[in-house]
Amino acid sequence: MRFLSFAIALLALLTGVYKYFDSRLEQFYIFDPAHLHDLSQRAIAAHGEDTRSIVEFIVAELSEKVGTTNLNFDQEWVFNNAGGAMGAMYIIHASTAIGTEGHTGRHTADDYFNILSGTQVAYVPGEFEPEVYPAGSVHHLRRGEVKQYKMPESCFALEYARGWIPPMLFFGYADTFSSTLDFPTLWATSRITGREMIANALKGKHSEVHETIISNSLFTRGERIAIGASGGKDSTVLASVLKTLNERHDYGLDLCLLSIDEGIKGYRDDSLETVKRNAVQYDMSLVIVGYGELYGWTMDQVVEQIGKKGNCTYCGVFRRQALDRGAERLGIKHVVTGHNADDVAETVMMNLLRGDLPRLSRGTNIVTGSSSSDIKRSKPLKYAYEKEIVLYAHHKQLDYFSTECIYSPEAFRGSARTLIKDLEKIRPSSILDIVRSGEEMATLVPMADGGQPAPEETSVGGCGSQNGRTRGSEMAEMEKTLAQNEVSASLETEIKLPSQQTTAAVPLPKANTKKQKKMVQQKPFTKKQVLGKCERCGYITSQRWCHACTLLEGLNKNRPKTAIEMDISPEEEESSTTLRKQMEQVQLAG
Amino acid sequence: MPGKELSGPCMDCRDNEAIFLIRSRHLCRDCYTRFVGYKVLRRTEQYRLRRSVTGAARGKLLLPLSCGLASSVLLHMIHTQMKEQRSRPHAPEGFDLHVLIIDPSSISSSNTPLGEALESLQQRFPLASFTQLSLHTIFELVPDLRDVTPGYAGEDFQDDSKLSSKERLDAFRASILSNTSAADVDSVLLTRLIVAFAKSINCFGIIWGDSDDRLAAKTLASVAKGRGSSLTWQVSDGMTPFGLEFRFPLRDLFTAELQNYADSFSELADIIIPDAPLSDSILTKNLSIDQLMLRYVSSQSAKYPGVMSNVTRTANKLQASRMSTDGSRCALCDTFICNSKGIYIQTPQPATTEPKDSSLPELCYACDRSRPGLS
Repeated sequence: MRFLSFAIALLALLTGVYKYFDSRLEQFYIFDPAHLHDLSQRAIAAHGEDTRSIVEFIVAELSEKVGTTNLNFDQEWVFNNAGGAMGAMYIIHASTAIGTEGHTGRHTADDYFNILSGTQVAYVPGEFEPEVYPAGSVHHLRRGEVKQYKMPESCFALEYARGWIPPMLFFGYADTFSSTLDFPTLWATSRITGREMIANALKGKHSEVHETIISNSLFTRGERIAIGASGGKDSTVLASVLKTLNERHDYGLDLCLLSIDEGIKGYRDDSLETVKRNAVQYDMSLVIVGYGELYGWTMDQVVEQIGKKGNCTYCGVFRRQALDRGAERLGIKHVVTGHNADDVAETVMMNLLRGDLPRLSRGTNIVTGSSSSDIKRSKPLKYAYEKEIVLYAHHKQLDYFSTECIYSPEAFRGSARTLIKDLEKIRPSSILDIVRSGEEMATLVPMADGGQPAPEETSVGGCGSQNGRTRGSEMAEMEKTLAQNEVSASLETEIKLPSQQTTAAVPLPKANTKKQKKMVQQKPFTKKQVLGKCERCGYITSQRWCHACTLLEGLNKNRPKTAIEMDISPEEEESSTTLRKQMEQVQLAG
Repeated sequence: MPGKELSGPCMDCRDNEAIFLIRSRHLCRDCYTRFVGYKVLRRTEQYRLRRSVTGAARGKLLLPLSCGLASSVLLHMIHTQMKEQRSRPHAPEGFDLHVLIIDPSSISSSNTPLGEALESLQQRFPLASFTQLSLHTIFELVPDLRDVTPGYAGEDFQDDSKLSSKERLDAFRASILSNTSAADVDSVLLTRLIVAFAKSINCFGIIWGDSDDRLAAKTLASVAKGRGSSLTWQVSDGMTPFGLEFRFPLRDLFTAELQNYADSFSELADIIIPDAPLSDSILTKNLSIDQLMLRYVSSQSAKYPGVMSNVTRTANKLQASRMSTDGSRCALCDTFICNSKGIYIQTPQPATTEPKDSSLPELCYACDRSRPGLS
C-alpha cells in the first residue's frame, strides 16, 4: 500500500457530549439522523460481520452525500465507538501525514488522549505511582508503549491519533459492532460531532466570539491589546481566534502577548517556551514579566524562604497585580484573558457557596476594571464552553502546553466544579445558564461604593489561577466561622435605640456605655471602603500598602543578612530592590 | 429541694431529660417544640401583630399545603400560634389563614388522591379554611395560559380545544421530555396556580413551607437553570412581581429538625405523606436539576450546614429594585424579563425553520431553555 496522507476521525461520544452539542447547534447539522440510522443499518445488512467493509461502505456514502464542503477528501472522517472497554466513547481525530513532526512510520500510530473532563489514570508496568491526567491535560501514549489505563465514569477524552490509523481503527470497530450499542445513538452522536468539529469549531466559534466582541463593544479601533498568555489551551485559543478575527473583520487591533513568569523552574519555563513559539506562529510581540523583576522575588526564592506551605498566597497576590503591572509597563490599557464559560460558571457557583456577592458580580462581568486602575480586563471567550475550546485547539492543532495544576483546587472551587460537571451531564447548556444567572444576579448586587464591587485584592489567599491550590479546608473554616456567628447571634440581645432618644433626650456622654459601644461597633459596617493608592507602589488598595507590598514587607524583613541590615524607610523601598539585587549578585559571586 | 435525678437535663427547663440536640442545645420535647416554634413565630411576627384598618376585614394569608413534612409542620405551627393568639383578649387581629391543597393525583397519576383528608384537616385545624384544586384549574384561573402552551411547546404538541382542561394540560406537560425541563415547567405552573388562587380570594401574601435546606437547593437550582433574577422572590421574603408577598417562615429550620417536631405530634403523622426517598442508585444524568441540588445540599449539609444555609442568606441580599427590565413579562412564568447589560444573546430563534414564529410567546431566558426540543 502506498503512503497516503491520511486523516481519520474516529468519533464517538458519551451521551453528555451528545446532548451538549445537540442543545445548541441545530443550525449546523450536516448529517441527517434518519439517514445515518438508515445508512448504518444498510451497511450492516450488506456486510454483516465484516467491519472493514461496513466502515468503507459508510465512509463512501458519507463522502458522497456530504460532499467536499464539510468533508475534506484529504481528511476522511470515520466514526467509531471504541467505548466497550470503558463504557465510554471517544472522539479520535487524526490528520497528519506519516513521518512528520518526528513521528516516523516506525510506529503504527501515536495516541494523544486529551482529557476533556474527569481524570484518566494510567499505570506503567514497573512503576508504583499511577500517572494522573486531569482535565485539560494530554496523555501521550507512544506507539508500542504499553500502559494500563483507567477512565472513570465521568471521564471524557478526545483521542487524537497520528500516524497509521487503519489497523487501530478496525479494532475499534470490531468492538463497536460486537458489543452493546444502539446504532441510532452511535449515528446521532457521530452526526453531531462531525458537524460540531467541522462547522462549529471553524465557523461557529469565530462568529460567536465575534458577536460577543461586537455586542459588548469590547474593543475600539486601533486599540493596543495585551493577551494574557499562559501557554495553556484557553489563552492559546484566544490568541488564535483574536488574530483570525482581527484580520477577517478588520478590527485594527494591535495585539501582543503578555506572560507572567512566576519563576518556578520546571513548571513555568516549559509553558513559556510554548508562548514563545506562539508569538512566532501568530506573529505577535511577546513580553514576559517576571516576579523577579516586579517584586524582587521569584516564587522559587519565596518557597526557599517560607517553605512549601502557604506560598500559594504569595503567588496569587503577586499574580493578580502582575498582569496589570506588565500592561502598564507596555503602555497598554487593555488586557484580555482566556476565561471561558466553564470558568465563569464555576466562579458564580463558588462565590454563591462562599457568600461573596461582590466577587460573583466581578467574575461575571465581561469587562472588569477598577475605578483607580486604568487597565481594563475582558474575557472574550466568556461564552465559549471549555469543550469547544479543546475541540478548537485540536482541530486547529494549536501548540499549547498543559498547565493543569496537580494539587487539589481550593475547596469552594472544587465543590463548585464537581457540581457543574454533574449539571453538565443533566443539561449541557447549564454552564451558559449559570453564566446568564450570574449576569442577572450581578445587576442585583447591592453596591457599597458608588457602583464598584469590592476590590479584588481583599480576597482570600490562594493562587489566582483557575486551579488555585490551597489547603482545601476553606469550607470547614467557613463553617466554623458561621457556626460561631450563630452562637453569638443567639446570645445577643437586640438593643434598639429608639429614634426619639436622640431628639428628645440629650444623651449624656459616657452614660449607658454598653449602648454607645454597640453603636460604635456597628459603624464599620456602613463605612464605605475608601480606595486609594498603595503608598509604595501606587497600586489600587484600600489600605496604606497594597497586599503585595505587605507580603513583600514580610519577606524582605526576613531576608537573610543583607536585607535585614538595611534599615530602610518605605520610601526608599523602590531603590532597595535594585540594591538588594546587587547584593545578591555579590553574594552569588562570592 | 431534692431535684429529679437527671443524667442530662434539658438546658432550658431543667425539669426533664433532654432528648434533642439542636444548635448545641440539649432540650426536652416541650422545650424543643417551643424553640423550633419560636423561630417560625419570629418570622411571622409581622403578620401576627397586624392590626386591621378600621372597618376592613382581617387580612388573609394563603398556605399552600403539599401534605409533605415541611408544609404540614408549618400549618401546625401557624395554627398553634393563631389559637394562642385568639384565646387572648385584646390581642392584635392578626390574619386569617386559608390553606390550598393541589390534588397530588392531578400532578402525577402515580400519586394517590387525597380522598377524605380534606375533612380531617378541616377538623384538626378549625381556624383555617381549606380549598382543594386540581392542577388543571390553572386554565380557569389563568385563561391566557391556554394561548401560551401551543407556542411554547412547539410543533410536536397538538393542542385540541375540544379536550377537557385536564387532558389539554396533561398533553402539554407530556410534550416536555427532559426531566429537568418537566420539573421546571411544573413548578412554574404550580406557582402560577397558587398565586392566581391567592389573588382570587384576596390574599395579601403566601407563606411557603420551604425549609432551610430546601431553600438552599432551590437557590442553587434556580441559578443552574438560568433563573438568577428570580432569587429575589423565589427564596426571599417580601414583595414579588405578582403583586403579593411571599414569606418562608421555615427558613431557619432544617428538614431533620422539622422531622423531630413532627414526631412530637401524633396528629401530624396521619397527615404527612412522606417524600419518596431519592434513590442513590439513579444516575446523575437521569436526575432533574432540582433533584441534583437537593441531593447535593443534603450531602453537603451533613458536613457544612452553615455554608449551605449561607447560600440562601447570600441570595437574600440581592435587591429586586436594582433589576433592569423594561417591564415586559414572560408569558409562561409571568415574571419580569431581566434585560441586563452585556448579556449573551442566544443565536436567534431559528425563525427560518419555524414558520409560525409570530405565535411564539415572549419568554424569559429560563422558560425558553425549558422549551421542548431545546434541551
